[in-house]
Amino acid sequence: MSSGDDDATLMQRHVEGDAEAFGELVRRHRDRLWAVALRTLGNPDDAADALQDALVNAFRRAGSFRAESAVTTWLHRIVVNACLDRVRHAAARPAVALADDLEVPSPGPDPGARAALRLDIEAALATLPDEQRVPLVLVDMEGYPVSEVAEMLGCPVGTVKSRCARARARLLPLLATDESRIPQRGNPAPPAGVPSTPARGQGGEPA
Amino acid sequence: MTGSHLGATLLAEYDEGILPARAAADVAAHLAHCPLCSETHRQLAEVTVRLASAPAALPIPEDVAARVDRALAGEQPNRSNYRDGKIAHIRPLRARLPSVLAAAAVVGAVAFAGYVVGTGSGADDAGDQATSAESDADESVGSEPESESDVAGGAAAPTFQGTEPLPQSARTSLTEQIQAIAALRRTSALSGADREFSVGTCGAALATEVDRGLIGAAPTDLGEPGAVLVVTAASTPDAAQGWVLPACDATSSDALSMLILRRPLDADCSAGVTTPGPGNA
Repeated sequence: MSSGDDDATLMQRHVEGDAEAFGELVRRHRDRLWAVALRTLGNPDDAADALQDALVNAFRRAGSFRAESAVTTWLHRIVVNACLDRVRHAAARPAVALADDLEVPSPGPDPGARAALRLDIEAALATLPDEQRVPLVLVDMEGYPVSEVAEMLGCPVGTVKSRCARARARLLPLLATDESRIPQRGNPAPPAGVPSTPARGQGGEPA
Repeated sequence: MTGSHLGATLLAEYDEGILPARAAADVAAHLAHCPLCSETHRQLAEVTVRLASAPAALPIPEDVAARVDRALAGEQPNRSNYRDGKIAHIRPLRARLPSVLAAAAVVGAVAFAGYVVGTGSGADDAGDQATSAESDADESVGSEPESESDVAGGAAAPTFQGTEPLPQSARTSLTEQIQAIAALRRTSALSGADREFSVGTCGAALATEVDRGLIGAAPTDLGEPGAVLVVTAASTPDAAQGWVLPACDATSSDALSMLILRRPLDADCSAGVTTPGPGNA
């Protein structure tokens, strides 16, 4: 009955007590919201928890929705916040493995082995530590400005940029096409036949 | 250091513009004549493009969709409605917040400025927080429309073992009431005066349900007559979650309102997440 209504009308109906309206909104947008949660959190269990928390919260607080913003933007932000809550909760737990110390497996020179390491985006994101994955997803995939992500995370802008940079570098062997060999961190030997050039940005070793 | 070629991290930092000028110039010079590093640089850009061009939606697994539907089916639309009269006064109170905070409240994150700041601030600070919350409430009495008095409720406040009723003013915001409960809790924890504000059993059912620590509870004039405000821990030690419930033994599905308060998250950037500084020289 309400399926022809736009999002704002559905929200209004929900606020007025229409028992069907919010469910319709959720059906309309849940795949998008699921993608946000799954990518931000890196695993389906946490993503499901966060999505449920977020939608229940949105349901209850629909009265605080302001019509000047899009319903999708509002829902999206509530899901992001629920994800951030999860990440903080996880961070507050004692000593998980320091994911930063775990190197992405370094592919060997065999192109076949490297191809086998190529992953879909969600699997690749899941290999990142929270503190890199969260800002990367928000900036590179969800399109939030760096300054806004910095505010959400309570981090300086420079820290967000640095974490995004590290995340992209880590994803490179997993997501980039493998036309040539990629120098890995801690894997200094250049492939034979490539002219060796001093890395002046890395401390000025003599030529 | 990685020998004679540039690492992907350094190149990514170069792209982000976070390298010192000298290092950035070195990278640019190197890229100008190194095909291998140029290829790495190109691949980095490809990573960004792949991320940005990923489909916005992913099919939600059926079990997750069903679970969300079940959770929502347990909700009652009228109770989500801030305009239905039960908790109508929350809107004008929110309007008193600075606009930035009001915007944050929409997404459930009010800067928790009144909460105990840091761990070394001591009991006096916490006590002051509670006091200032009360005086804020008093100041606002004259500025709120009388028509809201119907939501204040005339019912006698229930008695809670070990808790003190908060000031029963319809003009005390949910935020302030949560802060007061949290501050009293902190005060007692810091001063050892647990008897003055010990955690009773009110709200225990909710705390168990949501799997969060129970900080405190008190009768409240927010919501319907006889309502209680239960404050639980939130997802971090420096946040708290306030629930307006119709009764002490109510659970989250009965909640008339819920608000998460947290202070600015500076701590989250360094605590709990371990990131070495930028890897460039």
